[in-house]
Amino acid sequence: MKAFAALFTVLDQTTGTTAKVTALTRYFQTAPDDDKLWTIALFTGRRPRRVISTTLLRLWAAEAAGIPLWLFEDAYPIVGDLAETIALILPPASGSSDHSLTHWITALKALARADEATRKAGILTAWDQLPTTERFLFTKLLTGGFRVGVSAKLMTRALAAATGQPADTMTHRLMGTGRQIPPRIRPCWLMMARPAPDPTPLPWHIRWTGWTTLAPQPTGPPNGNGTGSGGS
Amino acid sequence: MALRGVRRRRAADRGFIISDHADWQGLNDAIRATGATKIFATHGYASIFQKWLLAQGYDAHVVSTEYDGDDAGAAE
Repeated sequence: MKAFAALFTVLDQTTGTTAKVTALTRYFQTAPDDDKLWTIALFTGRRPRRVISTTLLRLWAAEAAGIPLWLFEDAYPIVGDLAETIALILPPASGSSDHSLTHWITALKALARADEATRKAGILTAWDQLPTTERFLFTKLLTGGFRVGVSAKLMTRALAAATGQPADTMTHRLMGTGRQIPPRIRPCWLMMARPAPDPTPLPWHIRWTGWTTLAPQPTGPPNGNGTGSGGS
Repeated sequence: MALRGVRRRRAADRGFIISDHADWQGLNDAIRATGATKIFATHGYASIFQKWLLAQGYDAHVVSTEYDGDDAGAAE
């Protein structure tokens, strides 16, 4: 999640579109495929559902920080963001981890199905393994409140730069079609919050064709009689 | 400046902390080190801190001074 956190920091702190596109491009060139996919999904507003009530998160955070709940509640409006309050108020992580974004989203998905004691243990362990920015992002995902503004246009520009494909092609691929969702992707597709019917389904098409096969495909001329068998 | 919200409201490109203020831990350590039992909070999040000190068993008060105002946001 380190690479994702670094990307988030750039996107969050920069107003220049060129810098954003550069950071996104570099990320898309280096991140594992699953992480790319989740990043595209998250940045285009398809975030996982809330895993846990914020009331419980506050309780557990105050408890882990060793402060009374009222003090946590007083700090929250000053910070202005629950996940950030939690990320800052907890003691520094005692462990460390180098898990991918996909790992944490998978963990999140498992926690959503677990009983409360397991959820608490899982969340406290995660908080204790992640440095501040990653902890903040993980908690944002827990609360279902992950919002980072990257316009579709910036996303396609970055994907185009990373893959060497025209931006129009990337836009088209990002649209995909519902029928092309491969079975192994379906579970994470199912856990997405879908607030309203969205004409642009998840970009599984990218995964389906494979990042390695994004090179230009040989295509015949528009009339289709140049395929070699047309003359016979 | 450690807070995203503060950086955003001030439209800062980069936030970093240059401060001669004690942080939460430092402030509490300093109070303990003085051995004082009566504490007066003058600025920053004074009423919240007073409430905290009262809960810790100190005789804590808020005193309003002329050194308030600009500091409130910078206290972070």
